[in-house]
Order: sequence, then structure tokens, then C-alpha cells
Amino acid sequence: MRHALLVCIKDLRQRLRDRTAIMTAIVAPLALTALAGFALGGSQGFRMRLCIANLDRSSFSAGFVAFVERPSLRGMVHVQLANSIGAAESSIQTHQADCAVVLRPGFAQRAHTAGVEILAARGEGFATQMTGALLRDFLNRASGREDHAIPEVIPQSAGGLLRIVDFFAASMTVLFLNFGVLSGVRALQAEVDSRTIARLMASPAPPYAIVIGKFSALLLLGLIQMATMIVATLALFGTRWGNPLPTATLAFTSVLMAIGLTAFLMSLAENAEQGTALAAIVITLLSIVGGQFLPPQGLPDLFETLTRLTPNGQAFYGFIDLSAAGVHGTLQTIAQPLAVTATVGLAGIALAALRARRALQKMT
Amino acid sequence: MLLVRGLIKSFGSRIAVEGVGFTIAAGEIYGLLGPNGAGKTTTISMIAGILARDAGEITIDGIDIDLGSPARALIGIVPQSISLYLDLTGRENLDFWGRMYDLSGNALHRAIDNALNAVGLTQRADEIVSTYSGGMQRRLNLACGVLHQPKLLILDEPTVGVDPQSRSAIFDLVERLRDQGAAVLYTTHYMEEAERLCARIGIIDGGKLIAEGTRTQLIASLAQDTRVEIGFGLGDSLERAVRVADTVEGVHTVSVQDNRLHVVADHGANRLPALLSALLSAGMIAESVRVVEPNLEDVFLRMTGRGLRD
Repeated sequence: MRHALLVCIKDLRQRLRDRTAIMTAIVAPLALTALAGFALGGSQGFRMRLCIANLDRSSFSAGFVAFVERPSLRGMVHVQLANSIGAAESSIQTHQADCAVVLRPGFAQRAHTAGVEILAARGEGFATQMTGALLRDFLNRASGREDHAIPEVIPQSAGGLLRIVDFFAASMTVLFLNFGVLSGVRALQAEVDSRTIARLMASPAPPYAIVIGKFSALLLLGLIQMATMIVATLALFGTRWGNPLPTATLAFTSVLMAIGLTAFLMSLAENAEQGTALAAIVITLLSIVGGQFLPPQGLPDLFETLTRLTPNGQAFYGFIDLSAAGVHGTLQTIAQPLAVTATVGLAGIALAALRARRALQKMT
Repeated sequence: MLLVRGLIKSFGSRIAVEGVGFTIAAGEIYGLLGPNGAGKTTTISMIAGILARDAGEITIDGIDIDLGSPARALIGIVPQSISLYLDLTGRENLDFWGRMYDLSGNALHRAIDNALNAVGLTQRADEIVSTYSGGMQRRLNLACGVLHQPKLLILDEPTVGVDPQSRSAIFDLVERLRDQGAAVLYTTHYMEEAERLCARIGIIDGGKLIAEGTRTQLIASLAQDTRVEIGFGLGDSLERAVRVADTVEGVHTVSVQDNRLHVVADHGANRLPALLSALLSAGMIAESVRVVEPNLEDVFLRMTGRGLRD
């Protein structure tokens, strides 16, 4: 085992010295998670800054202010008051508010949206619609014509509601796990190309020790990458990953899957460069079909069915299911993702090993 | 030190090596010459234990190569390609390969320092290998193969693409290892390297060892094919000279190259008087005569029908 350890340490040293690989494995997925999370809804969920210019100054118009400041909207609607239309416009222009409502004098008498103007910021269509809906709801309640209560949102899973940033934490972790492992497999292919692998085979190290050493290094790197992503997203974004044991098990089989998938793709190519390009294309395509670029909310059920046909989609939804299950998540919760990722990984590794053996024979 | 007997290897229906056998003594450099695809690398790979053979016997210092680690520990291999980790330093490469050959502690550090010194890389030892020149990488490639003082050193085209300084350093190190008692198996495309370094030479073609011996023995096998080059004055007809030379006993071939008559004859120098006499009788006086003794290149050409670099 001494030889296996030597090979493993040498490979780890090479990979950890590769700045591009570290960028691909850790920095890029964290950055993309943060960017995508904030761009598509923020890590804190929906939040709107609403400016209200109450020119009516009646108890009725004050009621609207109280209506949007009520406790159930706290954290979602942040209200700023303006004393003139100019101040409201200024708050929009200086990006202090996403939307502004001007309650004109006479608003109380009319009790109608005709006495109101909504000033919308460019690109804040959702905030504008939300403001309009709030206003209509207030007037409906005040007139008693359509007094519908706002339904309370009740999370249906123990893990709570999935936030956009949680979705991207899991999807980017799985996506970049493939790319991270790819850099290790690429280095292995480069060893075949440069024939250092042949030199290794000529050394006193038994062939199985070389295989164990190389595989251990790939596995360790993948696990380090997974662990770093899980800890980092937990610390930075508060991402919930679910119960530690099934999460760790799925992380392990996901690394196996990434090794098997990339090693097999790499073995189909003539050299490391060609293999890297092929693997990158296939991983990206699988990631698109695997649903790792789009939040599942609002997408048809067919889409989720399709994503589960891909191994990385299985890994991704496995993590999502664990997150949703919270403390109740078990290995049984992710039985299918575990089986699929482990099978794909082991099959890919076996096929790649067979092809590598043939490639080594060709070298002579 | 090395005994190779009846080596056979096929890839599908193609026979890559067929019945190759030779020995190399301790302190001897043996050159294995052959054109591309002749079976050199396949033979070397089997001796190094990288490739399984179909039949035959390989022992190193009496140990069967099939025993694996004990036999492979006696071998140092320097592949034709630069088989180094380019993202590690020279010292880290040596450290890794030294440990793979079971060196450790002070013995490893001494071996690394000696190897770096021998190939002139001490000053650059702690720099990343990808920053080395091609010649420096070649020298480090060699150092990694000899670090553990192997009893059998296999060198596969170790000087391809190197500068004269690096080539000289490589020769010096190989000769020093030979003097220290290592058996060296050396393949090359450069005839002058084989002539300088190798005590014995084996010529391999089509997977078979077709000739073997010292340089002198191999050249002597072509002694009957000595070439004689004869120059004439401007007025003489070379066509008539060809016809006359062709009638002389012992002459194999006659041709005209660069306005000179090229005659290949049994023991050409001995045939020279009869040849010149016949030409004189035909009214042609030779202005210059040169007897060209065959060299290894001629031997190779005659044996394989191809040049060494083809």
C-alpha cells in the first residue's frame, strides 16, 4: 500500500497546485450560486422596497400604509414614505425604491384606484404587479365587496420552502463536481499520453497499487470538493442540505458517478485535449437536460421526469429531496439516486479501465 | 545480466515480435537498432515488464521478470517520450521516482543530489519542469531512470531532439553507469551513437533479430560488398566504363553517381588492379580512385532494405 499512497499523494499535490482546477471546483460554483441566487430572487426570498407618497393625508390613506406595513408582509415589503410626488420619483430614479405609490388628495373620497398612481422602476415589473395587487386588495377589503383573505403559505416539506439560492447551491455543486473531477481524469489521460503511466507500470509498484493510488486521489479530490461546497454554501447562503448521513452517502456516490462518467468519456477520445472537449460538451448537455440551470418551480412535471433520466439529474434531485425532507431524510428517501449514481459510476469506471488497458497495449 | 530468449508477442493476427533473443552482460552496452515498427519498443516493453509476452523467457540477474516487483526493481527505464510530471519540480520528480523504487531517507536525498549533479540540473532542481528546455527535460528523464542505480538500464532513443551539450551529458552518464557495472540496452536512430557507445549491436526488423555482433563483426559481414568510386577525365565515356567494369570478375553492381563510377565488388580493394587494368585496356585512365569501406549504416541498409531513419 506504500506505493498506492505515494501515487495518491503525488496526484493530490499536482491537482492542488492546479489553480484552474481549484477555480473550476470551488470558486466558480460558489460564485455562480451567489450570482444566480441573487439575480433570480435573492437569497432571502422576495423583497420589495415600496415608496408611498401620501398626499391625501386621510385616515383612509394612512390605512393603506398600515396595510402594507402589517406584520405578515414584514421582510417582504419595505415601506419608505415620501412627502411629495417629486420625492417619490426621486426614490425611483436613485434606485432607493423598486416601486412608488402616489395617493392623491381625494383618494379617501373616491376609495378607488383612480386616485392613485403607481411609479414603476424600469426592470421591476414584478414589484409593480405586486404593488397593484396590494392596492386592489386594500380597496376590496375597504369596500367589503371582495374581501378575500390572503392565504397563509404553509411549507409542505419538513425542510421548508426551497429558495432559489438553495436550488442553485445543489445544482452548481453537482454540475461543477463533474468539471472538478474532469480535471483529475484529464490529468490521468495526460499521464497515458505522456507515457508516465508506462513508466509507473515499469516500477516495482504492483499494478493494483497504481490503480488504487490514482482512484483514491480522484475520489478524495471529489469528496473534498463536495465537502467544501456543502460547508461553504451552508455558511454563506444558509443552504439546508438535510440529514448528514444520507447527504454524505449521496455525495460519495455522486463523486463515483462523476469519475465514471468523465473517465468513460475521456477514454473515448484520442488524447487528453480531445477528451476534455468531449466531456465538457456532454456534461453541459446532461446538465441542461438534468435541470441544473433552471429552478424547477413552475416547470411542467414532464421536465422533472426528463431530468431524472440523467445521472446528474438523479444526484441533483437526490440532494433537493434530502433538503426538503430535512431531519426526516434517510437513505430510503434517496434510494433511487443512490442506486443510479453508484451504478453509473462503477460501470463508467469499469468501461474506462478496459479501454485504458487497450490504449496501453497500443502504446507499444 | 539480461537474458532474453525466444520472445514472441502478437497483437491480434499481427506478429510484433517473433523469436527475439539476446543477452547483455554486466558493464556492456547493447544497441538494438531497427526501423520504425520493427518491434523495438514492444521488445523493450516486455523486458521492462510493462507488456505481457506470449512466449519466451526474460531474466534479469537470474530473476524471472514474471516475479514482478523484485525483477522490476533491478531495471531503470528511460522512455523515448518525456515521461515526467511537468507541473512538479525536478527535485519532486526525482523524489517521487526514487520512492517508487523504494529509496528513502538519506539514501534518497543522496541519490537525488548525485543524479541532479550528473545531469547538470542542480541549479534548476527546484523549478517546475515545464519551464525546462527540451534538452534539460531529456536529462531529467534520464536522471529519473538511473536514480536507483539499476542493474539493467533500458534507454529508448534517449537523445531525440536534444542539443549537443545535453547529448554529451547523456553519453557521459551512460558510459559512467556502464563502467559501474550496469548492463545497458540502448535503442537509437543515430548510427554514430551506436558506433560510439555500443559494444554489441542487434538489428531487428519485422519483429525478428536479423543480425547481431560487434560493430567490426557486422561490418565484416559486408566485406565482400566494398564500394569503389572511380573518377575519369572529361573526355571519357562513363557509359563505356560501366560496360567494361561489368565484365570484371567479382563485380556485383556498377552505377554512375555524380559523374563517378560506383562499383560494388567482392573485397573491392582486392579487385581494384583487375578493374583498373580492364579500364586501361579500353583506353580509359582513372584520375581518382577511392575505396569506401562499409559502415553500420550500410550494414543496416543491406539487412533491412531501409535507412535507419526511415
